[in-house]
Amino acid sequence: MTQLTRRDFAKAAIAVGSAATFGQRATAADLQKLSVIGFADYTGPYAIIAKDTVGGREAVMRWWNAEVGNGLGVELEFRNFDTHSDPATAASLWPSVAAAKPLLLLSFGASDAVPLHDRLPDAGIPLFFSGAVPYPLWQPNGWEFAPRASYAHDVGTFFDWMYAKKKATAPIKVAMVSSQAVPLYVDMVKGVEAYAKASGKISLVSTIWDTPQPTDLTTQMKETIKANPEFFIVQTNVAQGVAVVRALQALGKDIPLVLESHCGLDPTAKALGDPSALEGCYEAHPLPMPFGQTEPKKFYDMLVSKYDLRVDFQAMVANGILHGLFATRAIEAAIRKYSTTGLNGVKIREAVTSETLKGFYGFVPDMRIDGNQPFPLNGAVNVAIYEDGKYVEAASQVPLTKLAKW
Amino acid sequence: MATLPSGVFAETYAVDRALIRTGKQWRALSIFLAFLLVGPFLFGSHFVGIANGMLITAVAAMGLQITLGYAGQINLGQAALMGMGAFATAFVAERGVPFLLAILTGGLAAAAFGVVFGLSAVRVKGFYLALTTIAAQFVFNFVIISLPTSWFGGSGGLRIPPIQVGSYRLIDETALYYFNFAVALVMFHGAIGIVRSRFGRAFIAVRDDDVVASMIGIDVAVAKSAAFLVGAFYAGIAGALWAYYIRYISVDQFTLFNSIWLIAIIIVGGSGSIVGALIGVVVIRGMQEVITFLGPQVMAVFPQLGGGIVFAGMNIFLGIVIAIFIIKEPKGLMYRWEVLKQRWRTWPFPY
Repeated sequence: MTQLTRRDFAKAAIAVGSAATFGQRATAADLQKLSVIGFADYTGPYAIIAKDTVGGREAVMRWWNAEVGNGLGVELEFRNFDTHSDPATAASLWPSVAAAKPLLLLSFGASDAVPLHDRLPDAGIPLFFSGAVPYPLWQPNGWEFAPRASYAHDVGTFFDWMYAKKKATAPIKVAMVSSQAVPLYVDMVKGVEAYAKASGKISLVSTIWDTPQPTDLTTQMKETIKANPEFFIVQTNVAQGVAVVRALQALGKDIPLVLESHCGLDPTAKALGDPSALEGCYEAHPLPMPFGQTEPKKFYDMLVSKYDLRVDFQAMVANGILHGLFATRAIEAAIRKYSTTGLNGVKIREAVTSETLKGFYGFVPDMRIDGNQPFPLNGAVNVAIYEDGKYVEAASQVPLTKLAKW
Repeated sequence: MATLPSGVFAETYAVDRALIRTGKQWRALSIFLAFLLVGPFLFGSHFVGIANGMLITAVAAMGLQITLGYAGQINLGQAALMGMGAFATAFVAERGVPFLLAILTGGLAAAAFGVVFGLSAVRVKGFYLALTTIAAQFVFNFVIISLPTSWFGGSGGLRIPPIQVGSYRLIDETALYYFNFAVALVMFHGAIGIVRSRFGRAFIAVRDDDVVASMIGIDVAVAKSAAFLVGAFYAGIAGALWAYYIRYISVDQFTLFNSIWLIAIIIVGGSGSIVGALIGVVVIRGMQEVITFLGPQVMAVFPQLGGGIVFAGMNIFLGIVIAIFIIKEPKGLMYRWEVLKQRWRTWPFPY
């Protein structure tokens, strides 16, 4: 056997070092850069949740680049634009977005998605919505997609579950609080009306229309309570939830609320400064809830430990993570179907409407979006309740109700 | 206010009435217009996006300048009037009305809506008139949402087909820029004509003292109503341009907040000057762009700050800038520009 000399070791070390160094550089250089643009609200009315939602989706992008994109030979270049939740700003940013030719556009809400509705097909850029789908975007064969259905689906699914739980034989009487100042809020009421009519499981006895940020609803609530509602549905914002609770306290009534993901039990309790005021109230939406070491929680923990996610686990950060997963899984599906060569927005859209998107770490089930509606029909809703002063799980993965567009 | 450079004398009525009197003024205007025409090619897509918004806002601001700056009638519902124009345009455009006629319909619908509220200006003024015009904002919201969905789309909003000339669809942002530019230019010319006409002088007289105006033979009621009508017509045209630009309109695009911004534009640019309104548009929209740019940067550098703090900080910054304008230059940037021009022309003998 030939004895290895120091010179041989040195040569081998140089060869290995060169291979490692230049080999790695070659790999990094070979990664195909793909543009993804996101809208955010850093300086507008919803800036309060930007840190959570944008933080969630950005952490997912970092994770995907490191652990998935690298293997596929691509790297997502992610840029955020601030729209202040203002349609005019979103429209003014559009030429820059279109010129960048991103694979897809991540929306922050209806205010930036609606103005671009008719521009997307011409530019061939699909838009990925983050929340529940608002009415104008619920179109067949559209260019907007969402990982969850409408707010009316959330309420409907909750009352499917409640109807069965109560073993009800007559429609459950409900009342709503909303505002005509915001079209989406009006749409929420119309959705619940449609569910009531279609299912026969609830009866909407009254809707209180007030400002988006009411100070006192006692007078209106006094009239509404005469119709004996068993639940108050508040899907709009925390301010309306707080006003309903305060009015119920003033009237000495104990009627549970049903709240949404963006105005859930925790933020409402914080605003009230008294969680006991929400005793018996519910929160219903498809996002994972912070109960135990579930699969979504483990994924969140991994993002915190390895990918610089710096926000607490709650509904809005879950919304951001789901948004990021939805976008990256769609890109993966398109790469599998078409390869990375010539990948563009049109191919992403085709992949989303023809492939089953998988791998959501329990945030939502594997999803299939056909062309008839922009969201999956196989979703589920989770329900939480404030019980004995604690935020606890009431039900999980209640199958999504069937509801036609109203 | 403005003094002509020495040696420029009007020897005919036509010269005396001319807007542009010297070769230098012609050259400056030509360079400015040429800059606007080649802007999209020089500055790219981001310029086009911002400029489209500015041009549409400029039309609405010119209308508000006539109502508020010239006639002195406060109007806090200009965005609602713009919305009325947008929805009327979308309504008729959906039914196949050609785009020029649809835009005109938008202007006329807003003018009709504006006159209803303008009539109250005959009876009340100042703070009370401000409250009345705020009502326009709420009535607009309520009407659009409550009417049958088949009319104005209700809460879902209304889609509008793009401008079509033959087989050519005007959907390209740069093409829309030139279209908006052309319309804004026509409206600017019209505004200058109105404020220099008999009506314009009546507006100014009513603004300065409506009692004296009536004593010198001006029909104050007609002048106030006309000021609202013209201002609302401009808002309606702006709304129509907005509808064709966005191609999907809903009531939340025309809020009281937008009306307040239009008032801020007039304050910053200078009350009682059409050019001042345009300067106000550029400054305010420019500031909004700075905030659009700064927001994400601040969040990136100081991630520990919540979005709410950045939001508040940016709006405080904007508020401070407007407050500084009101304190230091209540007559607006246009007034300061005129002062500078006069000082330059009379330097070094300002007395």
